[in-house]
Amino acid sequence: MKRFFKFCLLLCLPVFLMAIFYIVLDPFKVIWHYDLYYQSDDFIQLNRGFVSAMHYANHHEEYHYDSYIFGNSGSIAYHEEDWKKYIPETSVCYHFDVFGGSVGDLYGGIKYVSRQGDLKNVLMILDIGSLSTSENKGILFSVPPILKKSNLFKFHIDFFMAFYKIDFFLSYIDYRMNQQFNPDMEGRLINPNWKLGYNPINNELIWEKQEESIEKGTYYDANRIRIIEQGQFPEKVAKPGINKERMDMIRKMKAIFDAQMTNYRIVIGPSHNQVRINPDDLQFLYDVFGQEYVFDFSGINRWIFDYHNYYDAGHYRSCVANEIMQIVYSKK
Amino acid sequence: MVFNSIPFVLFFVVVFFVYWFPLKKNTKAQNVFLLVASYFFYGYADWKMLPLLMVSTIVFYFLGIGIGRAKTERVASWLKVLGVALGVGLLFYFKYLNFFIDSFSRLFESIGLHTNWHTFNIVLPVGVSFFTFRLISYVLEIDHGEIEPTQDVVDFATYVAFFPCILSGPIDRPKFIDQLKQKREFNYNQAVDGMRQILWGLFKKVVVADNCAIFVDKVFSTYTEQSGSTLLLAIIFYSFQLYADFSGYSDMAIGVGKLLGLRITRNFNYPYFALNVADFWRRWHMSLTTWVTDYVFTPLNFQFRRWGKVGMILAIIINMVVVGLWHGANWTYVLFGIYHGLLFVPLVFSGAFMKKDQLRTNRIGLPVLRDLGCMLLTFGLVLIGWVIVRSESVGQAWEYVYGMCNASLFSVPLLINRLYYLPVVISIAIMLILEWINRGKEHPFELNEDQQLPFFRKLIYWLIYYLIIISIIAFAKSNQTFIYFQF
Repeated sequence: MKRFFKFCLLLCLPVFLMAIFYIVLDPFKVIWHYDLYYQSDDFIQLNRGFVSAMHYANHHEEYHYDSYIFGNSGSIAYHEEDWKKYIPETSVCYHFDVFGGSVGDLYGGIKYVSRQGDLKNVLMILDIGSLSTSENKGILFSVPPILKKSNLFKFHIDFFMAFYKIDFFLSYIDYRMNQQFNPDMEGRLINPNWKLGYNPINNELIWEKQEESIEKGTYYDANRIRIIEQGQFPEKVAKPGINKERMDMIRKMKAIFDAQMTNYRIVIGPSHNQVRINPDDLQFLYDVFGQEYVFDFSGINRWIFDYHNYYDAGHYRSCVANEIMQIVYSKK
Repeated sequence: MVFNSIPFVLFFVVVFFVYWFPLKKNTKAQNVFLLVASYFFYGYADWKMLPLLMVSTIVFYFLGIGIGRAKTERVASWLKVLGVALGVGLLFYFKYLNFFIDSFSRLFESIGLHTNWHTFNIVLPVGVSFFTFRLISYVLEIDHGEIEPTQDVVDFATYVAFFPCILSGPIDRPKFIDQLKQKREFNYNQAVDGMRQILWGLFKKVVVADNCAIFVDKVFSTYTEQSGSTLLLAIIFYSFQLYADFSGYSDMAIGVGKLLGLRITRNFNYPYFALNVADFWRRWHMSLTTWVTDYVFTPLNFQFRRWGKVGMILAIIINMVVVGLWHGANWTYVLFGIYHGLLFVPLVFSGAFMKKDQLRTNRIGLPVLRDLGCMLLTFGLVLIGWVIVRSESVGQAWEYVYGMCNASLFSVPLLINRLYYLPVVISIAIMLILEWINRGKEHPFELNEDQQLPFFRKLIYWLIYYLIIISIIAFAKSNQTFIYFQF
């Protein structure tokens, strides 16, 4: 038997070496502790849900956050400085976004935060995607076990496997050696031309370079306009996305808000595809949170007619977010 | 819990250690443990159907004893018929009832008779085609006097539910129970061979099959828009996907069995090196084809013997339709069976049906031109059959073949991206080359451990293992299941 175990160990040697290489490099920053997750020379997209949770864990005692923007990547358009016009000036804000996060994942974030600090103000940004039951696949979207009951081992194995996926690994090595981004790397590594800005205090991502490019008039080329403008379904209503499990989570979310006496607003953002939120889902949100706190901008709205309101088909700009906040907080 | 998943690795590590350490000296306890592990494995896949597996096991156990103790042949024969009827009935209910209701309903409607028949909401138990065939062969072999009925219900239940084979075969015969009765000693050579076979199976599944699937799925979902060359390329890829997926699973199952000191029946013998269709079916899914040959073809051939070659052809066609229908309840599988049955016609008339030709090679080890031609012709004929299997309907299969047969067959096929094709083609080439070189062995990594290999050769072997392991990690896709699970 000893001889057999020796054989197995020898057979697994490349796996061990690959694991050591991966652990030492920690390309997705999910293994070691980082005070600051984003650096200027980053070229790998991180799991935003993981970063939001870990950055909060590392800094909440230092800053004493009490106001939060929750959402998926659509919520990046909302900024602290704009939000502060509608909440007390002394509020300390934190942007807790989970890429591809569903309403259930956001509940995980709210529960996580409520265990450690105050939730005086909450702006929760939902969209058709966050209410959809179809899950986003891939490591960028896998929700860390700290936010959701899931297998920690599997979470890390997924990252390990993703690192050695042939196309990603070749791009990674190529970039590490040459420090040159080429079009083949698009979708695997961060394109330095479009890298998002970052605020290390409130964990905000900022569409900085995109805004600069829009100002210069170079952002909306024909291809981008085509991508933004295709795939609009003004007649379409989304399938019901709030199942029993989610109903339970949403009720618990409300219970947390009540216990913390949170000043909250729920926004269903203006998706460019014009798909309308399912009426049953909307009614459920109205019933739980109260109609005066839930604002539905899905379906046909005034922003979708101008592609300048969108960075791409999935993300609207801060000017739209600001208008939304104005509407949301003007209602008494 | 598929073999190429972390939960299975954890499950198997536990099984291996408990089986070979605390239970090492107690064969009975090993079998009980294997049974518990097998039920856990099956329940993990489909816990709602676990009672069905258990109850049918107990029923067939007693049927076996009943046949063995029957005082007259007539009683034994009736019990055998009952067993076969129960097994076939089980399959019929879960797999074919809705198909027949739907088909007859359509048939009557086509001649103007309106029926009010409804299909049922029946959930197909996983592995039902595999375990029912094991159960049926048990009563048949007792009745034929080939085996004695086992008195040990644990041994019998372990044979029926043995976890490496329960979901996707191979379909072991009841002689497997003899192994369960014997004391097992850990055998280093056998275990190492099992590890190598698992590695080879993993490579075929993860690297070849799953990567071919990307292109195949894309083309089949848009086949009406694709050129003839793309359709041809997709069906070639599908042929390798299907082979690598299923034979990969079988290799892993056999490898797992070897690690537990048990020999599982071989399922594939390099079918794409077959020289004719009869040869192909002697090499493809061997545990099924030998089963159907023994219990369907041989009795039918005997019945039809007075009709000579026509009777034999009829028996073959029925046999092949059974093989086709075993895979699923769809007219495509019936057509697949008829198609393959018809391919036997020239072989029966030329006398090549029963002849087992040996592959001849030239000085550099490649097949001689005539054999290469035969192999390519057989592969081409088999490809048409795979179009039928992969299509959702007979109409789609026809459209697909029709779409291939035009001038666009000579155009450049659809390209996904350059990073896709190269590794897929290389991995298929590696699979074929290694299998060709080692076609006399059960799997390409089979080695005689007692034979002292020169250091350089050992090094080459280890380098190949490492490259295979690295490629498995580099090409792994998440949540890929096995094609044959659906059968």
